[in-house]
Amino acid sequence: MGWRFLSKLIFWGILQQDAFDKVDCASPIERQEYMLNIVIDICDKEYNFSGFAEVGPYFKKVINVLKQMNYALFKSDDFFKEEKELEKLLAESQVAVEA
Amino acid sequence: MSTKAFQKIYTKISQITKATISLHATGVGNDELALVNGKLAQVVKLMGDEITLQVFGGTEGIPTNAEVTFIGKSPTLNVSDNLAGRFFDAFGNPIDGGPKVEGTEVEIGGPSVNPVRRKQPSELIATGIAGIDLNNTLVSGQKIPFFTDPDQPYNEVMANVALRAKADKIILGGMGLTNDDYLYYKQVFDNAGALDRIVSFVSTTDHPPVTRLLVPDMALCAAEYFAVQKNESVLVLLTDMTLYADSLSIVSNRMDQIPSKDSMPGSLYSDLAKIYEKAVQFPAGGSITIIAVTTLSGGDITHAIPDNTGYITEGQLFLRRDTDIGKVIVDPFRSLSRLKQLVIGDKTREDHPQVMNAAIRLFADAANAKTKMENGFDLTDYDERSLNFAKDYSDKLLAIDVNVGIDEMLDTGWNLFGKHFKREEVSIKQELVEKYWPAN
Repeated sequence: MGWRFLSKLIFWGILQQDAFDKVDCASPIERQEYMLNIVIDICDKEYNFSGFAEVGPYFKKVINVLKQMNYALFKSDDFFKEEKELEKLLAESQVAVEA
Repeated sequence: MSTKAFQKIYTKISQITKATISLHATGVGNDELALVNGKLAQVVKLMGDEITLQVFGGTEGIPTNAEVTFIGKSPTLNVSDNLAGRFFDAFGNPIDGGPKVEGTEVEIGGPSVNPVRRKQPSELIATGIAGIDLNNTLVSGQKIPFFTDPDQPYNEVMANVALRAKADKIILGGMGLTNDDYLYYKQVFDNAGALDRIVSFVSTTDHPPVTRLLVPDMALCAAEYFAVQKNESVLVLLTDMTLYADSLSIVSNRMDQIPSKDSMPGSLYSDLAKIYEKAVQFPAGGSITIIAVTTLSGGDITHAIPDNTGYITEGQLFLRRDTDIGKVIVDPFRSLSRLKQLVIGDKTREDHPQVMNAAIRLFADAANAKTKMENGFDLTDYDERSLNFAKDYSDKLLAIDVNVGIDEMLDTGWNLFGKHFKREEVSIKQELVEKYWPAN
């Protein structure tokens, strides 16, 4: 699987912080753990792509949803809305074997 | 500066170097001015009764029995509102053919303002140049240099900044300007009808190099008058600080000082800090903002002058020629205004920080794509689009010929995002995307 995309995922989803944003400028340890678990799960999954060209744009979408989660107040309505969005997105490209 | 009655005249010079002379004298103060054979000089070193003077005009033709008289004071400037609209040399004498300025005589080079009397800078200074206002917003009371190659049009940029900035007074300190540059500034200020709010102190290449040393102190002395006495916001433009530092090294190396890195004096940091630390925001509303030009030799930022400057100033602005569009741009990767976070999104529109960051991130993606292209790799659709975006972004926002308001810069940014990218690729906060994403 494309490690390049996963490293980007970890960078933009976990490591990158927006110091100019009121919410994202500080991330408590519970929130970090929650987000890290999500990102690790994404990394562990098997994906089903029909070609290499699909992978980049797909993970761009995933990264965008993760960033939107980072911008939302932790466990707020917006936060869970984005999380639903993420689950939907992940279900799209998942190998069927996944429970 | 003529001699007075019963004044001591010294006639025994013990040593002459290219820029300095030494003699034995008593009752002399540091920084005091003197006349050596009619040439103006300044005390730069005292050791017992042995005094070293730097002679501004150079020491050629000074005989060992030259007459030396001490004037009894350090360089001064007469400050009053009549300074506005005038051009002076490094000694504060008019060079525009006008009369001498009457006013309170103030010694130049005084101490900088006590930190407890300062206020945290918080007022934005708009320049109309998007590479500055959008990506590296300037704040009143800030000190920031332009790092630029000598062949970049930095004097034009400075003149533009001077004319567009909403400052009450603009003080130009020109060091080692060519006569053409001097006339350029004069003509630009004249044509814009802005002369009444501009004061200029200029030491051109026709003047002895050592006179440059007085220019920043003269300019800042005038700036302090307007900022302290009149509570005005004053913008000080210093060009070129590299030539100033070169003059410092001429004087110190001709004395017995051991040169430091790049043959600069060991006191370079303090000498520069003495100038830059005059930037200040007063609680009463007055402010001094310093924008200086530091030319780099061969783009080398590890040279002693830019290196020391970088430790003092609050960020730096880099000029670079973008070969893709053939224009000079403010390089977004190497430029930084450290005080921008005090105003962006706060004094400007809410989407400012996000648009700024997203645009630079996409510009960085384009730089990666360019490397891929140059090394013969296949480009993805995204790479192609980011390259096209980078060209538009350089042309419409980073180029120094841009002159628009900040809201318009942000709208331009959104339009470029909409033209080249999908929403999820720009990855800006959802509520801002919904509000500002272009309709089509």
